[in-house]
Amino acid sequence: MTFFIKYKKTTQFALIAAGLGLFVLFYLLNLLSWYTLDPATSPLSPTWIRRQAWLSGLIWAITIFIGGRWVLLNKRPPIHVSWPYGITLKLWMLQMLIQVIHIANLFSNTLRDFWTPYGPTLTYVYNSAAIICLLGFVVSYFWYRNFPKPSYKPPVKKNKPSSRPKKDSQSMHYLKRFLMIDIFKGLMHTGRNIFKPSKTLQFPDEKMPTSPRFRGILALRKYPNGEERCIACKLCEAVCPALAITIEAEPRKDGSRRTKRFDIDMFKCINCGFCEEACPVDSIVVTSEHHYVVRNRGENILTKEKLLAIGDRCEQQIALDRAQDEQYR
Amino acid sequence: MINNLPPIVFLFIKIIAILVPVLLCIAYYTLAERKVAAYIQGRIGANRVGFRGLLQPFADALKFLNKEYIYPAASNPILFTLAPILSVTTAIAGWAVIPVSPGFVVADIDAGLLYLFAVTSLGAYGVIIAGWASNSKYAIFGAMRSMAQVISYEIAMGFALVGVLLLSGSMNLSHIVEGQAGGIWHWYIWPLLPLFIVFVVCGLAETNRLPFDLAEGEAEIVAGYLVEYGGVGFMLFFLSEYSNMLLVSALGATLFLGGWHSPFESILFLSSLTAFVPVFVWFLLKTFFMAFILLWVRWTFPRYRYDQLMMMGWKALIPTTLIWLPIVAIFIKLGVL
Repeated sequence: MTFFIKYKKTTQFALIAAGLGLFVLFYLLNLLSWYTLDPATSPLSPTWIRRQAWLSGLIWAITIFIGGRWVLLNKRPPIHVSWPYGITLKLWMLQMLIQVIHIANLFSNTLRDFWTPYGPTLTYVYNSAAIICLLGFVVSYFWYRNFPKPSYKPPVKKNKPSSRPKKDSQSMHYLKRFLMIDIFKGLMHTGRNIFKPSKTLQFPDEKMPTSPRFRGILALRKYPNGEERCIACKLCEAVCPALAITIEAEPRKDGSRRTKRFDIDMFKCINCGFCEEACPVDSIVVTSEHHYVVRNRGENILTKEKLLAIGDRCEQQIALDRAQDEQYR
Repeated sequence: MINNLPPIVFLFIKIIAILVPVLLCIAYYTLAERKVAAYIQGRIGANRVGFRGLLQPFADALKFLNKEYIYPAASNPILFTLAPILSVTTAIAGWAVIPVSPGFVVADIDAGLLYLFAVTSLGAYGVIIAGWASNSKYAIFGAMRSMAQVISYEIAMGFALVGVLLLSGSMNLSHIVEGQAGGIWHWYIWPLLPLFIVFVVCGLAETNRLPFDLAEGEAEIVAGYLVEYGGVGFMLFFLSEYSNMLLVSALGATLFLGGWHSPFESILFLSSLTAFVPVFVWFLLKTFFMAFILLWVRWTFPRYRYDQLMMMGWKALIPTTLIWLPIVAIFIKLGVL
């Protein structure tokens, strides 16, 4: 749901603060607007007045909190395609306008005296309008949910297919330039960006997550009991398209067939992962480790010891990746 | 005790009291620029030196100071050294007439606006001398562009300020601010809205900021007049640029946004609610708001082409001011304003 878009903490804080601030402001201003009423002749009970003031404050808090999110992030739920939404939004804007005018009258002595008798009626009207609007928003949301999309119509072919925006007339062009409309549009765009969360990855502290199929540096694995897996079948050497693997085999003292030499030239290796696929005992694997570098000449040759060491170091991650990818192999 | 001090010492204290906060503001303005740029572009910005990068300006300054001072063999060493000094001196001298709060101003002179205008124009000499003394084709191109730009935008800027003079009837900045007392509706920005926009645009051009930074257009002329500078010289130019920007912001706040006056003055309820705020805070808030607009504009628009720059200066800004000034004058004569 759109309500749970991710924000910067500062944006969230600012929105909550603005919502609360407006709530308090309009609560107080509404109370203030009836201070001049004579309580003896007033038909309104203090409870009623306080309730209406609460409502008015709440309306503004809701407006700024939800509307502010939509405006700042340029995102809103797709209910605006339904016509009840359009009517409700217009009504909502109208009642907000009346509220602002009502409150603005407070600041002018003559106008305040003139409007004070009508104040409660006005408040009653716009608060009721706001409640109707809130219901309207809910209705329009479900309206959209139940009648989601108009049936698909193939686009009508025009004589001139143009993807460009329509060109303004000469007078419109000058008017737009004079009023600096495009300039303010640009400013709004960058202004919205300020509140969006940043996309920076703070590299040494954070690292990109890798896929379980990531093909990074090569490694040789061992069995859990510490026995190396490789049986020197030389399938990887045979399949390697870059001829990066060199294997020499020899029987070990216990009679098993093992490698005497297992060298991978990292300059030749193209990280294709064929060796892993060829290996019958899952000995040689590609790991998700990709921050490696060759500093000195000769270090590009990964010997058997180095490969086994990498395998030991990354065993946990390797096992995790293999487990995640198990059912797709 | 302060009254017993010799006037020169008192003046000196005043200067320090203005200068140190200004330099601090400039330092953090550079950080603000980087942060705003980062936020607009979806990045984080400087956050490694100190808490959230708060010590970054000082790290930058130390880096500049540690660098060797070099000048090209073909340059004129005296002028080459003089240019950044001239630039930064004029940039900081302008702060003398900015009133921070009632009575708190280093030089309360009656020709304050003229003085500011003269001093900011002198700042262009730093750029021109730098371009000429570097003896490099990019530098001289940058200096020439800067010259032409300053000449054409000074006129529009002057006319924009004339509007303020018409309304206030004084060149003393403190008097101008006093004329705007009485809440947000009495600020000069409302009757002079077109002139305010002209003022902001001209302020951008005068301080060589994007979208008008043709004097240091990286794409065509490397860094313009800055091309041969490094280390301390570069730092001084940098300092003067940011000082000028803050000066323009403070000037905008003083002339159009009511200086130290609170926006809620003489408004029921809100004026008493915000009465505890010291007056200079309002001035600072307005200045920072203007400064933020300068940054915002910089990171939104691309650089103008040279002919577009000239067209805008002579065909848009000057006619706007020329049309608006008589209107304001007529309204004043009619007694409306």
